[in-house]
Amino acid sequence: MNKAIFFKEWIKTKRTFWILFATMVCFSIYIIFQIFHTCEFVSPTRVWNNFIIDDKGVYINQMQFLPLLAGIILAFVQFVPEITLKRIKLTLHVPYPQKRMLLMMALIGVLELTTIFVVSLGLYTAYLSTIVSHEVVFSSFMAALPWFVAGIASYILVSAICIEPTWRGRVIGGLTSAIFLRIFFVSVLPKAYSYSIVGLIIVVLLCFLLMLRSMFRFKQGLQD
Amino acid sequence: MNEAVIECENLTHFYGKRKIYENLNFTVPKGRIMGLLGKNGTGKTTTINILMGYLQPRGRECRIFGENILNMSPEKRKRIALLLENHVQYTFMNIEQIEKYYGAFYPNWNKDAYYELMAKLKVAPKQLISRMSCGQRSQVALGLILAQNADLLVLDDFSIGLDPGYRRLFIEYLEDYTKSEDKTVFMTSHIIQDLDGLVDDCIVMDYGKILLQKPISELKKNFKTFTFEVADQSVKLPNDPEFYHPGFVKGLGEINTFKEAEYVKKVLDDHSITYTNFKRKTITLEDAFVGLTGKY
Repeated sequence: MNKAIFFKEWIKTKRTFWILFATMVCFSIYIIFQIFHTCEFVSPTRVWNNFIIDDKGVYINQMQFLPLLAGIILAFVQFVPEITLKRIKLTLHVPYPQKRMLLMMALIGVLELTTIFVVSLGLYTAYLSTIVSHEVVFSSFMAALPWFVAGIASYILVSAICIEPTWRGRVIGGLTSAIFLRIFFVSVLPKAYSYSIVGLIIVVLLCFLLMLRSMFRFKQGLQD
Repeated sequence: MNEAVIECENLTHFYGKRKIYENLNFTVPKGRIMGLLGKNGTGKTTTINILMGYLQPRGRECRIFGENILNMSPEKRKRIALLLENHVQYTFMNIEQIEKYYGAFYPNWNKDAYYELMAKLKVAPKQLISRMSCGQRSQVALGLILAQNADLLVLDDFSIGLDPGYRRLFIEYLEDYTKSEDKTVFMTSHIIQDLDGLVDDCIVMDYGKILLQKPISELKKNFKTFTFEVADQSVKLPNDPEFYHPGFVKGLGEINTFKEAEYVKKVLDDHSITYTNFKRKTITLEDAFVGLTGKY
C-alpha cells in the first residue's frame, strides 16, 4: 500500500521534481563556476577573503529564496489536484488509516525536496571543501541551512493551506505562514541560526499537525 | 428483514442556519438497491457526504456495517465502493496506473472485471483520464467499482453528464453485477427513469424531511394520479393531508395520492367541487416522483 501511495504521488510530482531538481542543481553549478572563476582568474585568496572577511553566506546567498519557492511549488503540484473537485475524498476513502495516508503523502513530498536540497547543497559544499577549510565549508553550510529548512516548512505549510476547506482559513493560514517563514530570512550571517536552528526544525516538524488539522476540518465539512 | 447495512438515526444537519433536515431516519437492508430521490438542494449529496464521513452531522449518528461512520476503520472502508458526483477520479493517471494504484488496497481486487469494461472504451491504455470524455471517465469509475468487489456501493448521481448510450451501459453493468453478487447499493440520481427497474427501494426526500421510504414496486402500484375536469378552474382544490400537490395542469384537475378513487371523489364532494371525466392516469416512476415532490 505504501508503494501504491508513493506511486500515485510520484505520478503527480515527477515532472515538477525533475524541473526543480534541474533548476537547483544548475544554480549550484552556476555558483560553483563563480567560485571557480574567482580562483582561476582572480586568486584563491580572494575566495578566502570573501568567506572570511565578508562572512555573509557569500555565493550561496544567491539561492536564498530558491528552496522556499521549490517547497511552495511542490506543495501546490501535489495537493491542488487533491482539493480540485474534492478528490481528497477518494484519497481518504481507500482502506488505509487516514492520518497516516496524509502524513505519507507529505513525507513523500519532503523526501523529494530533501533529495533536491541535499544534491544541490552537496554539490556546492563538496566543491567548496576542495578550496577552503572545513570550518569555512561548515560555516557556509550553516548559513544556507535555514533557507533549506524554510523550503521544507513552506512545503508543509502550503500543503496544509491547500487542504484547509475554507477560504477564511486559507487566508489566515497564508498570513501566519508568511510571518513564520520570515524568521528564516532575518539574517544571512552564517552563525545567526546556530543556536536556534534545531528549535526551528522541531517547529517545522510540528507543522505536520497543521496538515492533520486541515484534514479534520475537511472531514467536518466546514465551508465558507 | 435482512440485516441493515446502513442505519441513520435522527440525523440532523444544518448549513449555517439553514436546516437541511432534522431527525432523518432510514435503513438500507443488505442485498437491496436503495435509491435516494429528491429535488435539487434537498440534501442527497449531503447525505452521501455524511455517510462517507466527509461531513459531521449536527445531530445523532449513522452506522455502516454497524460502525459509526465518523470513526470508520480501514477494514470497513474496504467493503465500501464510492462513486463521487461527476465520476471524479484521479485524472492525472491513465487507466493502467489507476488500476494498479487501487488494486494495491483491495485484497479481492478483480482486475479482469475492470479491463473487460475498459476494452469497450476506444482509448489507448496510456491515455490520461483527464483527456477522456465524461462518458469514458464514468466507465473508468464504474470499472474500478466493479473491480473492488465491495459489499456496499455508494453512488452519487451516477448518471450526471452521461449520454443515453453510456447511461444505459452503466445501468446494465451495474444491474448485472448487483443482482448476481447480492450487493447492497445506495444511490442517488437526478434522472428518475434510470432508477426505474434498477432500484428495489426508494427514499423520496423533500426539503427538510423524508416523504416516504418504500419498495419501488409498492410506490408504482399504490401511488395514483387522478385527473378530472372542473368547469370553474378558479376553485381551490382541497388540501387534504392524503393529497400531494393538488392543482390544475393543462386545464385538468390533478390529485396525487396513495388513496383510492372513492376517497378522492368523497373529498371533492365534501368540498362541493363539481367534476366530470374523473380518471386514473397511468404514471411512471418519474411521474410519481413529481407528484410527490411537486413540480417546482
